[in-house]
Amino acid sequence: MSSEHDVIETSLTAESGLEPQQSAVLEIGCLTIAECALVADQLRTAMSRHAKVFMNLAACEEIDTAGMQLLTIIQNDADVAHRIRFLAPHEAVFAQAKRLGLSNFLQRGIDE
Amino acid sequence: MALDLNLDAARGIFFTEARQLLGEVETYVLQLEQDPSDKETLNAAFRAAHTIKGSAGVFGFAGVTHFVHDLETVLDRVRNGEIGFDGPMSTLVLSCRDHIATLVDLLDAGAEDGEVPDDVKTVQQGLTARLKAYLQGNGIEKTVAAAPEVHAPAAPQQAVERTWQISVRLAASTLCDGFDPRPIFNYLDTFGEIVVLNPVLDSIPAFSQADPEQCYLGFELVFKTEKSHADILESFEFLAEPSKIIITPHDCDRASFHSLIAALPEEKERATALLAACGFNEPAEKPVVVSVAAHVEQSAATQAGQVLAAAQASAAVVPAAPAKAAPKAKSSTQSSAFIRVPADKLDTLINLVGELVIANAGTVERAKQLNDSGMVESTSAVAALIEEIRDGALGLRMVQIGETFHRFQRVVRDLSMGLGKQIALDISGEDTELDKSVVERIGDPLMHLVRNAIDHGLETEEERALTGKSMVGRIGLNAYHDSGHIVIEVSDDGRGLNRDKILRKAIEKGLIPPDVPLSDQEINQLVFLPGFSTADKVTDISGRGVGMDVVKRNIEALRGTVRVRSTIGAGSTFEIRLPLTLAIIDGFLIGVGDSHYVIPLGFVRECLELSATDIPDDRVDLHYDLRGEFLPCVRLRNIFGVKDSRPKRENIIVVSFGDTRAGLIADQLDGESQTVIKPLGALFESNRAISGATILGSGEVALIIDVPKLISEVSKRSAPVADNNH
Repeated sequence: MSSEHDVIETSLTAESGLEPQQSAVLEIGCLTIAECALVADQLRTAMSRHAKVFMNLAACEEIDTAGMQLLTIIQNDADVAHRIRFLAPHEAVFAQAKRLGLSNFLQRGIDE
Repeated sequence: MALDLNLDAARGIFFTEARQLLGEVETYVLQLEQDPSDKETLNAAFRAAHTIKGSAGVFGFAGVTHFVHDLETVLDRVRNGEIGFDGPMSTLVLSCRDHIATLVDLLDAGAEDGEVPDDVKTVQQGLTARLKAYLQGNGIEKTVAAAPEVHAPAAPQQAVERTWQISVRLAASTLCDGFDPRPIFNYLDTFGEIVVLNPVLDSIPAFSQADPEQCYLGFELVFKTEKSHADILESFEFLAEPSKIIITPHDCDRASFHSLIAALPEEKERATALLAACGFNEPAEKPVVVSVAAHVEQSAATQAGQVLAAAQASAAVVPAAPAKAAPKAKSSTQSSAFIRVPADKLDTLINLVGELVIANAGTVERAKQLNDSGMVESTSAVAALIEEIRDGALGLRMVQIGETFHRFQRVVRDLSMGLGKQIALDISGEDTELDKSVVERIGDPLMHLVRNAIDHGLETEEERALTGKSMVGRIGLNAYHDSGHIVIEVSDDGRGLNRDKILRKAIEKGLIPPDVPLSDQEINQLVFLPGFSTADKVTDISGRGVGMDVVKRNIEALRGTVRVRSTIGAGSTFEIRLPLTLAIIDGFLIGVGDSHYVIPLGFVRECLELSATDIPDDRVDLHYDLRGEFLPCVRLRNIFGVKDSRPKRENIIVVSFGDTRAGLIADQLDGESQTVIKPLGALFESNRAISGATILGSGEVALIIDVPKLISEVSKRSAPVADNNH
């Protein structure tokens, strides 16, 4: 459950079609209140270095309201929403978004 | 510094409350084992776990919060009907409860949050994996889908479905305090339908400014249910202040609607738009003519609209709820009727009252010497008041034994599973009260007796079947008051004590000489000899012969006694007699030679005057013909080595302990006296007639007679006839 193991920054090229220095991806394994602060810091750091940051939510099996709130904050901020995008959210993320009435915000941030 | 001290005190309260809540979780789980469909108990277990999580979050005990979170989520799924509550689930929840208790103990001992020994860490990993196994799969979607299956049963009266607007504005600390609105929404689904769920994001800051651990969320819900306002509000009881929950019926009047708008933190236009997005618009003006029923409804609606319910404020609204909510209301009232006081403050109070009793006794004595009737009257009035204060102060420290008894449900359950015996625990007299200091010290002896009864007392299922007994063995815990004492009985319906075997083993081990005749009761008591065990095999639970003597010693250290009644084939009962308190008692003052002694009043049955010829000699086995009944007696001046000549008229004080009576012969009777018990030093430990000392009003020290021991000594000399059951 350690955040250090769940959040790994790697470069992304093929998937995004961008140059390595232009984008980064954060692998999100778990997005609960315990991880949110660290993930937010990593996102801010990544944004300072890259034009676009992808949050890969494919393996995010555990997400709570704090995690969902973080995704919503990102998509609610017009300056950030187009720079931080979500990749392939796990069904648990969809379920959490639906439960909290935040599905629109999740959908808005997904890069297909 | 002051803040640190306050925090330390608050942490202390957390540890106390967490242990209390963990005890409740255990009780609830054991109840659920008996009736897994009991939703109230399930909800209570969930609430207890949730409260522990929330409180741990407040103090930053993230290790506890995270672990309890998983447990809580599993319980939530059980509550929503997704998972059944079966044996393995029960065992898992109990194991998690034990683990949380370990974490709490570690934190209380000063460990840093997250600093746990490797073995504890291993246990936690195992438990987390087991919890996760219940949580795997598309759980959240299932929650929503499955929830309607467990709709609350229909109310006895035909309830009408109403549409409610629930406005939720979460406090900033909600998430980091460990609270999460999602389980609340899941719970609402169990007794109604969330028709609209619109998030309110007006407080959300820019990403660069956001603290992800702060909560910026609000919600507007439209909820259809047959349940009442109070029932809905109860769902939100975990949310701490300053979260705002406003519940308003859609069929409210204009005033209530406007009250709601005014109560929402958003601007009027924005608030109106938020409600309109839910289909809740300003109602049309209602006709002026209002029936009584409508008036009541209107009041409720107004109240609902006006109440800005921080979750804990729900008690004020609950009384308006239908019958089902009544127990909750009672519970809220009860909880507010108690205050938590550190035990050492009560101890100090009792000590001071003790000193007051002694000081006042001196005043009364002095007033008598002055022969001033007014003064005597005044001091007597003060003495009567002090007696009431004494009883009140001692009463503060009295606690019911029920909590101690109920802890054994878990012990019985675990041992039952471990030994493969079906066992039922019967508890009675749980309301019986005794001094907290006694309760704290009786737990270990009781534990030993219960384990012993389960392991050795109860037969295996096969043995019970052969003897025609029910397969389910019964262990009983019973308590009652008797003559200023509390009696605690641990019983079983097992094989009973085999006296022949006990006698043989005792002789084999050289614990008693081979040719001494012993009564049945004396043989029973041999099980309390050090090193005695008749168990053919030693188990993890008992049978090493190093326990019953410790049980007896511990009970005697509390000025109590333990004895066994047993019928072979029918079971045994261990009877523990303890004084109600260890601090202050009502005593009966007597004189022997030049000294004064106190007999605890609870033992005294009657007093008679003796002429010199009634019991003329100083033989060891004195007796008295008490209205045709044989009464073994002891002359106290012989016990205490008083050499001067006997007075012409002596007195006999008839005392009883349990079903045994004896007469104590004293020189004079000085009447009742409040007695503050002062312990005696090690020098007096070997004295079998004295249990303590007290200070009289004159400043003189009076020794307190140990009646049970004295009766035991007297009875031994005349065993066949001393028992009233002869």
